[in-house]
This record gives sequence, structure tokens and C-alpha cells, in this order.
Amino acid sequence: MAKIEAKDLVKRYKNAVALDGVSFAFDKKGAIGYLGPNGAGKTTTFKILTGLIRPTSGSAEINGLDVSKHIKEALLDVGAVIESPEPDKQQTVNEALHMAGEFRGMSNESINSQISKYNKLLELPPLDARNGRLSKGQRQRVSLVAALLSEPSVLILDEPTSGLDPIERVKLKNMFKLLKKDRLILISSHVTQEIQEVCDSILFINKGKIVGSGTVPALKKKYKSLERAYEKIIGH
Amino acid sequence: MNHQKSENISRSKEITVSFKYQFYSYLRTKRFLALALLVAVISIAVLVLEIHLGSAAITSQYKTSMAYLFNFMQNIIFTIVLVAAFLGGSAISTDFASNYSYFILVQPARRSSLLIGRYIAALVASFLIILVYYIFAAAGSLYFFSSIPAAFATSIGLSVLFIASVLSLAFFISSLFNNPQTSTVAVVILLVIVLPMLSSLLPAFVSLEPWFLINYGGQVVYNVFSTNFVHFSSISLPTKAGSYKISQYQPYLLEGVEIMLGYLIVFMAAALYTYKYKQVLN
Repeated sequence: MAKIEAKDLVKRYKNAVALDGVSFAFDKKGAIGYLGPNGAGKTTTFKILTGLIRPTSGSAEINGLDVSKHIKEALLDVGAVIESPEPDKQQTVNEALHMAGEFRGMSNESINSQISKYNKLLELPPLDARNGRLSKGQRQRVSLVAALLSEPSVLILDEPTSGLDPIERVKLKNMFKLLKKDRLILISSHVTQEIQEVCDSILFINKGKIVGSGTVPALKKKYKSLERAYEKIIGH
Repeated sequence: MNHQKSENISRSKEITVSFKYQFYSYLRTKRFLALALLVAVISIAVLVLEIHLGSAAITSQYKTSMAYLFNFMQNIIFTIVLVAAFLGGSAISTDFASNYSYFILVQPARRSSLLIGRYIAALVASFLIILVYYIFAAAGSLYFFSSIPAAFATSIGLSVLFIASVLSLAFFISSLFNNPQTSTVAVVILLVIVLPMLSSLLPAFVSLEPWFLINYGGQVVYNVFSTNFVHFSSISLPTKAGSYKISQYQPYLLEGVEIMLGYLIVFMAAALYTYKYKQVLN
């Protein structure tokens, strides 16, 4: 099963409304782009989906489990990279990945074989390097591998290519194309080019509201290009 | 693609994983090494000074190993409080200051398990440092009196309880802040300055037994070596208006244990609650 559902999510801060009735549901394998300008509510949505913050009202479900009520069970089959995660500075890359794997009940052998597999795809920094000495891009890759270790059926990725160089971005996009074949991936970005290369469908969010959606081919057909679709729908 | 599916692990396994990796981290921090070195240097300095003074001088001054250890252990409260403040003061706040929360809190583990694992790691790390103090105390007792009293084991047990209770308070304060430097300073000011001052001033000036202060309860750690324990004493100082009474209290053993257990339970529950519901807003 791979399912993500947001039900009328509202998130209010002291003087601002970050999300204003966001609803969507996806239950098929593939990649969904979550597109919007900075401050639109993308990260807030993802934080609610991963239990980092609570909604003011509404609910978020992963694989049918309410995240705010069953956080551990809901996250068990989810790999998430939100903002720019920083593994413990004192730990080595290997330890950070082993910790992530052990929380998911993986054996040492499985963790090692998964690290080896993703090391080939993403070129991790040396496994004995301390996380505190890694560059932002290296930390991002460690966090991505931690999210992918147990091959979760749902991936929630908040601007996953930020901090990566152009070659790394290409590698990652190719990997997402491979991964989406047997899992549901929700990717946020404000870069349309990146999204259209990887995603099958797109959700547009602006000022805390879902303002449009559609499959990539349908949007391209209607608006000629995804950039134009973004301009028309978001209004930028 | 070969799928390596996640498995729901037990709470005890979650705590074990959290403990294991946090403990590795503690052992590598500069503050752990600095505190261990500081305690070792002070303990060695005291012992070397005593040896320099000569066995005859020490044995004639203290008479028994109990009296010797009662004196040697006078600084244990300050040492424990300092160690626990520095190891526990940033234990939770560090999640919310750095982007570590985005790495650790998206793992399928209960926050309560993460906190308990870290707490046990801090407890073991703190105890390792305090053990250095006890090793030199034991060495001194053996050197000068050729014996270690049975109360030594009781004192170690009470030290563990005192570390646990101080860490509980430190973890709670840490959970209230989003900046590890601020939370560490807050914990140090409270534990090293404010509470010791209160536990001295309240009995002295308002004749109030500070049964609600952790530093007061912790005194049982060295009071177990006391050969002439007095719970309450007072002296009258002559003033122009008559006389002024200054009181002093020492906690009973059971009273000290109750105070420490009270802090341990209340502040651990508060820390667990705060951490569980704290949102990652930055």
C-alpha cells in the first residue's frame, strides 16, 4: 500500500495562516510534484505529514494511519527529507545510517548492503567521516540514503536537490525516475523544470491553498509548457 | 529492486538504539573529555597534596576513613551538578536549534523513547566522570586508612540517584529552549548558582528547611560518611537589638532519597510531555 492523504489541513501561526484547508489524496505509485513559490505552504504541509508539527485543524494520513495519532506506525513505511536535515555532528556517516536502519528494524547485514547499494548511486562521503565535517550537499545525500534505506513505499521529499551540484541533481533525478516505479513519491519544489522531468502529476499551492492540479501531459497540453502553467495558476 | 521493508521494533529496542548512538556521541564531545579531565586533575591534585602533607597528618586529623571520606566528598555535589548541567543542558534543545530534528524526528521512533535513550546515555556518561572522583576517594582512603567503609557503596548508589534527578531537571529545562547554549547557561545558573544559594540562605536567614531543593537532598551523598550527623543546628549571634539565630539543616537519608526521587519523577514526566508535543517550527 502507498497512500498519502491530507484532509482539510489548516495551520495557523500567531499572525499568519500557513495552510488554509489543504486537501489531497494519492494512492497510486508514481511521483507527485508539489509546486509553489517560497512561503506557499509546501514545507508546512510536509512537516504535518511527517509529524514535525501538528495541524490547527484537519488531519494527515499516511497509508491510512493518522500521523498525529499513530506517528511511529505512520512513519514506519515513509522516507522523508524535509528542509536540510543534519545528522548528529558527532556521529560518523555510517553510524547515522545504521541508527536510521536500526529504528526501522533492519539487520546490520541489510543496512550494510543498502548503504553499499546507495553509495554507488549517490556517492556518499567516506563512511567514517564525522557528519559535522560534511558539506551541505554531503549531508543532504546522507539524509536521502537514510530515507531510502528500508525502501519505504512512500517518500516525502522537500526540495531534495537543494545544496546539490548539477551533476548530483541529474543523478538524483534519474534515481527518482527509477524509484517512482514501485512507490509513491511526493516532491516539493519551486523549480518547474526539475518537477516535470520526474513527476507524473502536479499539485500547485499558493498562499496556503491548493490552487490547481493535473497530470504533467495534461498541464503541458493546456498551457503549452509547465512554466506557463505555473505562471497562470500561481499568478507569478 | 530488492525491497528491505521496515519492521516495527519494540519500545525497549527503540530506547536501546537511541541510547547506543547518543552514548557514542557523548563520549566524543569536547565537553565530556574536558569534564572528565577536570575531575581527574582536581582529584589527583587533592590526593597529591594530602600525600605531600604526610600520612601522619591526615590520619591524626581525620581519625577514621569515614571522616576522611566525609571531607573528601564535600565537593561531590558541585561536581555532579556541573557535569549533569553540561551534559544534560543541551540534550533536547539541540534538536530544535540545528536541523538535527529533521533527521531524527522523521524516524519511526517515539519521541519518549528517543528522550529516555538520551537520558540513560547522559546518566552513564555523567556517572563515568563521577566515578573518577570516587576512584581517587577510594585510593586516598586505602592509602591513609587501609580500608574503605561500607558506606562507600551507599554513597555511589546515592550519587547515581542524584545524577539521575539533576539530569531530569536539566532535560526539562533543555526541552523548554530552542537554543543549546541558552539552555545550558540556564541550567548552569539554576543548578550551580541559584539553588545552592537558596539552600544556604533559606535555613540561615528564615530558618526554613529547604526540603524542596535538589541540592539540599543531594547532601546525603556525603552525609552517609558523617560520624556525628545532626539534622538541625543553630547558633545565636549577638546583635545590638539582642541576638540573631542562624539555622542549619542536614537532610535525613530517607528525606534526601525522597527529594531526589521527587525531582527525578516530576521533571522527567515534564520533559517527556514537553518534548512529545514540541513542534519543529524553525
